[in-house]
Amino acid sequence: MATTIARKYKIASLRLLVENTPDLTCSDRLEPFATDEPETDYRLRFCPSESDEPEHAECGPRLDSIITDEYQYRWSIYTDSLGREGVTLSFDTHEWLQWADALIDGREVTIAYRKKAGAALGSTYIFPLFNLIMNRLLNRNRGIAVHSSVVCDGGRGYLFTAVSGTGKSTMAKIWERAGATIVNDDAIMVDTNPETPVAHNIPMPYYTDVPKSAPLDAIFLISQSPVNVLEPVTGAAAAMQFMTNTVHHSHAADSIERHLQSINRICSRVPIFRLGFKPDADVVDLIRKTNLTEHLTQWRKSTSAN
Amino acid sequence: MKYVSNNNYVLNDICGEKVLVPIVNSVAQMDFIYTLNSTGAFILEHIAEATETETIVDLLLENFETDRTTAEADVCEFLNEMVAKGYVRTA
Repeated sequence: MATTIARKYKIASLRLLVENTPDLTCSDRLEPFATDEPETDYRLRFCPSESDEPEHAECGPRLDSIITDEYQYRWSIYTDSLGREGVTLSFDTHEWLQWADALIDGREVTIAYRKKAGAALGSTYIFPLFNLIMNRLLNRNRGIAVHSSVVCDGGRGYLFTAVSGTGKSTMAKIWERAGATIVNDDAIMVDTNPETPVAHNIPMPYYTDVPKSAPLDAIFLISQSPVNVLEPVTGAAAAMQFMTNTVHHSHAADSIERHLQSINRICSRVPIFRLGFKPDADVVDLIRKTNLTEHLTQWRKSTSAN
Repeated sequence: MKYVSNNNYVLNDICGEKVLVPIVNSVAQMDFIYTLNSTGAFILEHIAEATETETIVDLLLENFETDRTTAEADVCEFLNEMVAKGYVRTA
């Protein structure tokens, strides 16, 4: 008789009970996030399938095919005939997986999957399915995913966001050399439930990390510059620029509204700055020496006076 | 002429300003988010059902300090743009 192995993880404030099957191992990407907290927010249940195609392959809006160095896959978000939301993926290239489909029904997430014939053991961390599920669950729980790096400097959390190639990882390394801790240098989940929103790392596909988090004291919209320039930005302009680098949920009106509410909560509680920076330790000194709250207050006074 | 919303967007507040976020089926389309001025937001909020241009102009005159000529021009320009972007259609 098949044995189900259940493990509890806490990822970006969400407590997940993951029930796998004998042909899947507990992922070493997830294990550092194991928790013994008794309560569970969602149960993720893996179910092997013999079907050649996922049941929901052709329903719902179809999103773009994604090609990475390792995998080529197509994915879509769907709503089934009972109004339940799900995510489905089909892989063109994957070492053990043919397709996977996560159906969210209240607090239950059923992950159907089809292994390739003769493939070795798989693992409970399926990239990018796990990230897509997390994005959907966070959207329902006042959370958002942000393409950003976050550092924790003496208990103060700073988020640096920009399009790829601008210097998010470079910025994180500069802070690390100055004694700060990198929460993550690329993918961040922000929980907007606390009065001060909290940035969390999540399991990463290409390396194993431990859980890290930081309350957000400031958000920086970064760009490269010959000199360091720090300028507050407020209102809808700030929110829109920040939102550009978040994972959007634009396939359904209720998802968009929840996303906008989370953006509003962050932008009303965390000051946002434009930061032009040159990649050396001076930018750390600038931020450490600047009273960001006072800087924002003074800037608001000067702009209202003008 | 009558106009009606295609109901393919969300109109909501962000930090005190109105933004229009399209409901889309493609990641490639997800970068289009628009901020609307108060007149544009007001017009969109009042065309949930098929609405005559004249009615929208009258509503604008009741709620904004403007004259009929300016209101008619504003309504015409805005709705033409919304039709071109696919958020509104003629009924």
